[in-house]
Amino acid sequence: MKDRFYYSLLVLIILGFVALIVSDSKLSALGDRSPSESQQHMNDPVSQSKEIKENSQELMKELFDASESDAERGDLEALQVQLEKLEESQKCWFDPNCELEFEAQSPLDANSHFRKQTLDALIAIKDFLLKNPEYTGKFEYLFSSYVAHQDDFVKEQALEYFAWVEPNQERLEAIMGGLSQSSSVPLYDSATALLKSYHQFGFGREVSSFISHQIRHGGFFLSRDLAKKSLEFMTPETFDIFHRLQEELPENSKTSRILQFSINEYLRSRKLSGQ
Amino acid sequence: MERRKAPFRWLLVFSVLTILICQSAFATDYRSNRCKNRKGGEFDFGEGGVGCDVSAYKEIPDVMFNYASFVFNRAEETEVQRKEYVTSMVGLIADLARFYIDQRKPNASEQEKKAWVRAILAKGNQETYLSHYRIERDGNIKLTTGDSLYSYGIMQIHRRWHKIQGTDIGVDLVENILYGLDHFYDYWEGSKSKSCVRGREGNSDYFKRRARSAYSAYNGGPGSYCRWTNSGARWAQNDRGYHQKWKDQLWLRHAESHQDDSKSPVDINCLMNDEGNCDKSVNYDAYYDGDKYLLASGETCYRTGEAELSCFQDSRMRSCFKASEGLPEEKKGFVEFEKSDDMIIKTFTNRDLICHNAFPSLIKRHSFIKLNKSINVRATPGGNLVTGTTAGDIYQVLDFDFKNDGSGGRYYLIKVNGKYGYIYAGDIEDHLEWAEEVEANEDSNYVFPSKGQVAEVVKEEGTKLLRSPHEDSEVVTTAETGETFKVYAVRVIGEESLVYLLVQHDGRMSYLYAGRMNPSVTTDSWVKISE
Repeated sequence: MKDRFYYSLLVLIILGFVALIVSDSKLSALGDRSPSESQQHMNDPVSQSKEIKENSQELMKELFDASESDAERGDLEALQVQLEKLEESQKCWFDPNCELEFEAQSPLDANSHFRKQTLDALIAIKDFLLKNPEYTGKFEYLFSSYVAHQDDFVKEQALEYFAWVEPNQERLEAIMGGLSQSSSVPLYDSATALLKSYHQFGFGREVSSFISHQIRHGGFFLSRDLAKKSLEFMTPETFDIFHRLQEELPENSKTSRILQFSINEYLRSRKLSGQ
Repeated sequence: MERRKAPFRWLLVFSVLTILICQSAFATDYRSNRCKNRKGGEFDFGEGGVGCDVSAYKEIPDVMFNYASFVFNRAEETEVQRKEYVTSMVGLIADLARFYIDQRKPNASEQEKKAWVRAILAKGNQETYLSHYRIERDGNIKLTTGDSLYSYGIMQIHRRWHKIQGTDIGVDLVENILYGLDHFYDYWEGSKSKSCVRGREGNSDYFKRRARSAYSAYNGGPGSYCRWTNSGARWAQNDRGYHQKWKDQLWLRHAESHQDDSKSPVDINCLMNDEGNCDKSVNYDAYYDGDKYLLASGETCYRTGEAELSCFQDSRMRSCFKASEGLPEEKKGFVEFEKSDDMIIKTFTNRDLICHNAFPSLIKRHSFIKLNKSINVRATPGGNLVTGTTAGDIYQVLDFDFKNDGSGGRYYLIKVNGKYGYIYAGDIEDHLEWAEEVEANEDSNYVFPSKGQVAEVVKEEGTKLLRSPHEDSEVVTTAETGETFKVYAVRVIGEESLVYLLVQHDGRMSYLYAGRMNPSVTTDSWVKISE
């Protein structure tokens, strides 16, 4: 009697396991995707990885040769570790055939691992550059490419670097390129804050033209978000750009209404504050 | 014999524990995804993916009114219904895809635009068999999910791959399609320069190669543009599946129209302008969800008499209305008022007045609250975390919102360290445990001056004082920057929530403009509280 009970229990357990496995595989069957369904650009990650490797090897050799103290060499060694991590992540993140050196239980595990490794490396490299600004020119290309990374978390981290360095044309183009390729609403705040500072730093018309173009022809979510924020970019020097845009937008469209609110407030400000 | 049984029992105990742990892990996973009453789907149009109750994500009347033609009813699973469903869905996707590329790439050739639309339809077919909302046999409306419940809707927007935490992107059908379009477009453009996409426009199969390449990259990331050319690739079956959908255009077997001759029941311009209730096939007066009515005009109403509805346009007023008791109950679903002409529809617009009447403990806009505990600040009510607060802090209330569960649970919009966000502040019963109204003091976090306070003009060029609260009003005088005025009243006006302060100048009352609050707050640049 007891034996029958245990055997029945065992059968139930096996059935339970089978049910779990079947239900999971059924869930995954739909919309099944490889680890990197997260999208966007940054061109070909494998070439990117090679580029990081080649550039960093050459640079590091040059820097080690030029280093004058143990402390400096220590910093460079730490930097080298981060560059290797970055290169490894970039190589493997989007290659489903890459042999992983860790146990990934699911595609999500692998994604989380590479995302974290990339974020940690970018933070460390940024900190190194802030401490050693003389190397900025040599490693900045990393942030310029990672700002266009397909993963919005990485993109946001790369953007942060640009908040610490002075505006220039190349940096502005990198930021605008990164923003134009993102559908992440939470990322728009940090990116537009950066653009705002560029706007005030002498790039007013360039930034405003970019914003106007994205409102008109950008992705759906970016277009609406920038329309909401457009007031921040309206000045006597740039207002014509937005006014022209408003005339081009389809009448009574949602974007046009949002932009109109910004224009109203701008004009109200001119009218009531006697500007 | 007994000795032989001992390991067997241990094995059983181990197995039981393992299965319990596994189940608990799965349950946690599902809870975190808010999936209620999950139901499996089928590999057929309208029925793809695991269904979760849509009510956990979105108001059901919104779904029924806006998307009635795009809800597959499994209780009436007939080929006629499938045909209608696919016809509507193909029309909607085709119209949106066309609208999208017209906006982003107006100079694209007609051939490219057609190929783009076909590529998107093939993608929707591959991801979910064009499934998004469906009514299950138990009558509940479900949202299609996939990827272990992490991906939402027709385009399978993954909650963890994308940085969209704190948003509900993916639940709304149109937003879901647009999000998918945003991403697919990047790859569509990226595919142009790939070695596996030989040739150029006009060459045979050029756009098919573009579509296949874009899909491979969408599915496998930017390293996978040419994955479709490698039959041994780990995810090659996805590429084969997509190719099959592109070739067969299975949706055409069901749809009465094809993508170049859309028969979408939705007015695409109405939809893109958020005008509401754009589904032309809905010919009812209202939808009743068991509590309130949603009118075709977009207003939400409560029945407050036999032939009387009290309505409002601003959905944030929803919780501030209550249906009158003792009225006959109506069946859930679409409603045609018998005497439509006799129905009295009262429309209310003063949200402050209605909500204060409903919940007298609600703290008024412009007033100050002291927090009685540390509360998280979120971008939207219950949404993405922005920052935190500390018990004892005092903030000015800029706006309010409510939970929709009738508890009176309220949220206040405040400004913390330069950032705007909502805090939860309790319900009818426990609101005092969360926050209470206080007089402002020097430590208060204010945004603009309130009644009794002194406003200081901060505009460098000064600000004109007006006879009435309107920018075209007669100008009384110009107040210089730094000039101060005692505030006698605050008025918030119109859709932009323009703030006007009633002040006194030379013994005469006049209005000082203090910025707007919608769609963003600008009051900082106009006035501050005088110190």
